[in-house]
Amino acid sequence: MAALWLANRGGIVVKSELDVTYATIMNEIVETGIAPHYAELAPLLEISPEEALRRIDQIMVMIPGWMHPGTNYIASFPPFNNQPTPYRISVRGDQRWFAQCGFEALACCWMFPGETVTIDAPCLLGEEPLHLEMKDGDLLLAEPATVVGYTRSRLGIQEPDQPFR
Amino acid sequence: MNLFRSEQHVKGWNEWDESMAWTLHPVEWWIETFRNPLFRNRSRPDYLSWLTTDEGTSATVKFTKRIEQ
Repeated sequence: MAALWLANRGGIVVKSELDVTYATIMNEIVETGIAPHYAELAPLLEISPEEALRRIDQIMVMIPGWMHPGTNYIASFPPFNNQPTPYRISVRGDQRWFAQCGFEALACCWMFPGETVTIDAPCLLGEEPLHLEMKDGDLLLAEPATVVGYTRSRLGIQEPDQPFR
Repeated sequence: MNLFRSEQHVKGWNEWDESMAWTLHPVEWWIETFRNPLFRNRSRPDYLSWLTTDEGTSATVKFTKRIEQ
């Protein structure tokens, strides 16, 4: 792993290849709402598609994200999800993103500093939907004001059905 | 890992599990949890390297302790 960390070459700090790859994927999602396919990522990094996929696989070991089972497609790259979820994220009225889950929806605002980030989600019991507005980590609005968070899954645990929770 | 309209709603959910009731908190509690630098720092260009620093490790420990309360 040591080779993956920052290296100092002649006084110039060189970012690790995984840092650059992670940041490129994240920037693409923030800009477009979609995680790039590894073959789309490759030219952005000026590397081969095989190398792009290798790096994605390594990154997924380091973060609570995952590939869609049986494929080479990024399904989840927290706080975002490539596969639609009930947690729709909007910025400036543009609903372009999905959060990985209800909890990560609360972390999406960090990816849009200075912007009001809106979270819209259906009620899992079929009643009126939920609507939250956040900015730089602060809750601006919660409708209803009684919103709570809950999980039936253990946090931080790699469960076999994680992609489907 | 879901959001619900109220405590009453979540306890009426067909997947409610009493053994996980300790994860039920007002949304403000979860917002505070996700103010941890683990989440705030994701836009850093050196995020993965940062995770391995003392600061990153400390943030991970702090997050883990909070959700295990």
